[in-house]
Amino acid sequence: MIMLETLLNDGNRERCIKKWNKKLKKRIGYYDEFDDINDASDLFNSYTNKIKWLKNTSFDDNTVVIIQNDKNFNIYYYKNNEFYYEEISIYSKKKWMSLIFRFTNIITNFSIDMNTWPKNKKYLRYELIRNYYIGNNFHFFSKTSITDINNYTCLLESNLVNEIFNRHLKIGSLLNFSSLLLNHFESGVDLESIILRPKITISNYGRWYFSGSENIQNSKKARDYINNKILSTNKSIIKMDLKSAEPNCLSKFSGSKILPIIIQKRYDNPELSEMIKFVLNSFIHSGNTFDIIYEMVEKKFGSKYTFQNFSNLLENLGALQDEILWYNKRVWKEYTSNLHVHEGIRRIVNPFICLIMGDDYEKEIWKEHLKYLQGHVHDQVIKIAFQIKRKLNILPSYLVHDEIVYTGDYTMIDSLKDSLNESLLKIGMNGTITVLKNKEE
Amino acid sequence: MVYVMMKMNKIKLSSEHIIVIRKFLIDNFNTRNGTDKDKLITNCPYCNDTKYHGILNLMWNNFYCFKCKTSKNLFKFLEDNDLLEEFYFVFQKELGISHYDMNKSISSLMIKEFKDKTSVKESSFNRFMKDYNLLHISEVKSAYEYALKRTNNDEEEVENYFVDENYIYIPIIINCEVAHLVGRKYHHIGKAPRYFNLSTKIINKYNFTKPSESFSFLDSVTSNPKTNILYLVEGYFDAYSVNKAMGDYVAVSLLGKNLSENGLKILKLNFSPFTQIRILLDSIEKDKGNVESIIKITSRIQKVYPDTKIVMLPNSDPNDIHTSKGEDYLRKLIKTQTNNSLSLAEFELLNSRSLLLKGNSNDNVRNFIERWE
Repeated sequence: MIMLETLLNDGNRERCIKKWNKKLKKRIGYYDEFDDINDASDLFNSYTNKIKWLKNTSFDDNTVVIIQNDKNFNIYYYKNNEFYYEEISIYSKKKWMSLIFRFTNIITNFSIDMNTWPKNKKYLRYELIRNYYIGNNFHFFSKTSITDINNYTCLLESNLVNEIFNRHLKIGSLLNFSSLLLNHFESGVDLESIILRPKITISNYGRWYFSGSENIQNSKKARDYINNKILSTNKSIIKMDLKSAEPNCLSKFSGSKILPIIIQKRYDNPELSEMIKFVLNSFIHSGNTFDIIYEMVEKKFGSKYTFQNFSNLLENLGALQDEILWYNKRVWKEYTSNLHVHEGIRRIVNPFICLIMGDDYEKEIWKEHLKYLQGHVHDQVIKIAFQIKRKLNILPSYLVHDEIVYTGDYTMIDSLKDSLNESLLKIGMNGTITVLKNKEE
Repeated sequence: MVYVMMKMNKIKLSSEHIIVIRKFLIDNFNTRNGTDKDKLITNCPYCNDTKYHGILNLMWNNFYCFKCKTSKNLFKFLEDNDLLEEFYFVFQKELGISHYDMNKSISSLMIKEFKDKTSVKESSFNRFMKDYNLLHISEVKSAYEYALKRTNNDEEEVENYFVDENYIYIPIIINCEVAHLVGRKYHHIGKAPRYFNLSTKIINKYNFTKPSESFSFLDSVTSNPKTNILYLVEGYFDAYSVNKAMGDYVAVSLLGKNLSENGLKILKLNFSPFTQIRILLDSIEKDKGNVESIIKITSRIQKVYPDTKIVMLPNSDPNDIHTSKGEDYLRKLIKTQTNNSLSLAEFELLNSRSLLLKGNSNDNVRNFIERWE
């Protein structure tokens, strides 16, 4: 963000500390080391480093956090009113396994094979917890559970542990399932003729990026190659792609009445689909005002074409901008008062917005915040996979951003298709379902 | 040198490996360039040397000190300096390969010195090779073809084997050294038995480990951080097939049907009590005597590893299935059979008839009832 680069100009560092103290009700003084920091995120992390645990904070002694750091596992736990930290080589399997299996709740930042690890434990992935609770490079899980990014003890705080490991809560059950899914993908999906072992990176905005052995997400050629391999074993592939997912999520959060109309227009008029997609995308991601977007549309698609088919486009865009302005203000207010926003299942932390004065950076903040829509869309994909798992007890083979891919025998295609349609209805989204069958059948 | 280079190309060990090893050694030891680019000279850590008497030969993968005459293979040298784990990590990361591929490469690199006849003369395996006139497998066509058949045409694996007139010898590496040998006859001529077992005399003479304490692939399985499952199989080729099919090191072989107390001690040393042990011996249809062996092994292991189960294979052993139906089929079969694995009690119940019928006395019945009580 451009605003962050200008944020740390002289004098601003002290203002940052004061503001954060006020918001978080802390009394952290100004340290000399803050002067040398040139990155806003580093400043916040250094600030959080100075925060001490409140006296009445309780910690869970049945939880262990294991962070892989190159060839070592850094293991954090709390026992007998004290924090413990151990560093064990990843190849000393017996040593670290004997230690971590003393605990019931296990948080890791590497993939584990759920089939072979003890079933009576609960496993979560650190990346996902941070992603759902912060969506940024900080450790700010709540006003009481806050440490710097290199200190993992905040994950042992009782309230947080009770929330993330409680499968009766929405966030707990979703975290549990998404951790299972992430471990399932990373420990290797066996498709009989091929094993996919991707390395998955989770962006702060919530998307899962596959890399490593097979270039499934970026190359259509690689996808076709894998699909052909799967089809060669007499299996079928069923794919589901969410349609206009980001605008749909935005309309839910903003309570917009215009957005659903525009999206519906896209479904009703396939010939306008391309244009409306362009309009929505540029509206969400460019941060431009409606008149600029309209001009862009005219340039790209021609005025005659635009007017004939979507005569009140300009009007609609204007109204949409008004609606979004109110949403924007609400989000801004929430950011400035709490340093975070609750949206959907996610809690997005941004400690810098409260420091920005005036409307100069409105476009920047707006753009930055809307990037998290990808995460909300991904949550919908996860929700669908969760419902399918509950109903048919199968997990997807791979994900391509908003697309979810299952493989299975042709006998299960119909039931899978029905379940996918049902799930789409449940979450109130539209999607296209494609079935690929072996040509010989 | 030309001879060595030709061999190098053959086993697919590229110059990339040497570059990574060289970089690692330069980063971790105080080194100087040697007489040619494949040599590095360093202070010998074994004799507190300060005048660079140690030489690291990257082509031969070994270390030699001209002062104290210590010689080690490169990986043992790294282990002695507590750098082996670091090396594993760097090697895997720099080459971007999986744990399975890394271990395969390292095994090949360890065997390379014996194959190229550049190994340290005092090493036990080298002495054994000399005394028993072992050749590299590539020099005996029929043995090479037999080994290829057993490994489903895995040339890289076969390159690690040695032969004499009757047997293929497979080195078992434990703690970065050839600690034991498995001998398998590769033809039907003569009266020599199918397997070559090292006698106590040979074991003592060459400092090999006892067969009951020699688990093949033990180093590779214990250094595999990913999985918590351990398959115990009968023969070397069975373990090889399971590992190859799963694309990961998950199986060790017992080199027989028994597990001694010492063998169990080694397992205890290397695996946490939470490890899921799956006994995957040859199918009981193929070898009826296996029922008793399975019960014996399982009841012994169960005392230390509560999560021990028995995986049954239909009519065959893992290596048979691997060579006849391919690794994809074997992987699928192992996975489904593992999901349907039996506890000791279930296995005993299923095979109670064959247990009771065996032998003339009532001892079997009494034993069976006693165990149930």
